[in-house]
Amino acid sequence: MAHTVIVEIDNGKVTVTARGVKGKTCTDITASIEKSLGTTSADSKTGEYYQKSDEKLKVTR
Amino acid sequence: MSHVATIELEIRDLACLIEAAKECGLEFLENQQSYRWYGVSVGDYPLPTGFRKSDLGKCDHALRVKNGNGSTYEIGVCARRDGKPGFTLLWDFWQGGYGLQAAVGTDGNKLKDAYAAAVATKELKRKGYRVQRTKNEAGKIILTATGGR
Repeated sequence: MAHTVIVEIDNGKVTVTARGVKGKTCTDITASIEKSLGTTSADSKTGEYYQKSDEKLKVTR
Repeated sequence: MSHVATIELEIRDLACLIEAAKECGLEFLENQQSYRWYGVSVGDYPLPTGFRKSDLGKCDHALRVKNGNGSTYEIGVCARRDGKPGFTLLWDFWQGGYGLQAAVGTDGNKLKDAYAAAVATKELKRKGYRVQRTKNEAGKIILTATGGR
């Protein structure tokens, strides 16, 4: 699945974000990057995380 | 975006630390067993876990400002003593370390940020990503990785 990983580094603070992936795949993608950098102190999941990877979004007009 | 992870940075990759040091204008002094500092601790800051006052000034390697003068303080690169792998960086920032802080930033954040960028880039490339590095006006480093496996 095409996706983008964004790493933001600012004054000793690092955040890693995966975009374009749904569900647990997201954490699988970023896990090794997080581990190489240190210890994950906070992990917030967004709505996209809770969507199934094969789920289609319905748009109602 | 599906999740955002915030990470407490740990120094584990010596090669990436050397790369980050170069970026900040420092040179790596392999196996240098001491680093330049004031020489006496007045106990105004807590020491890292496992370190005692008598350990200050001693190190496994050191980092030195390339264009510093004879009094510019240095950074001690010491094996961690809390049972975890990696390194603790020790330095004295009294009077800005006489030029050291200008190179590595307040609290060493410029060096830490360069280290984090080097580690993340290395890991992302290992996973097959193309990595683009940018810096915004506020100094934040942003790595954008695409095309990974």
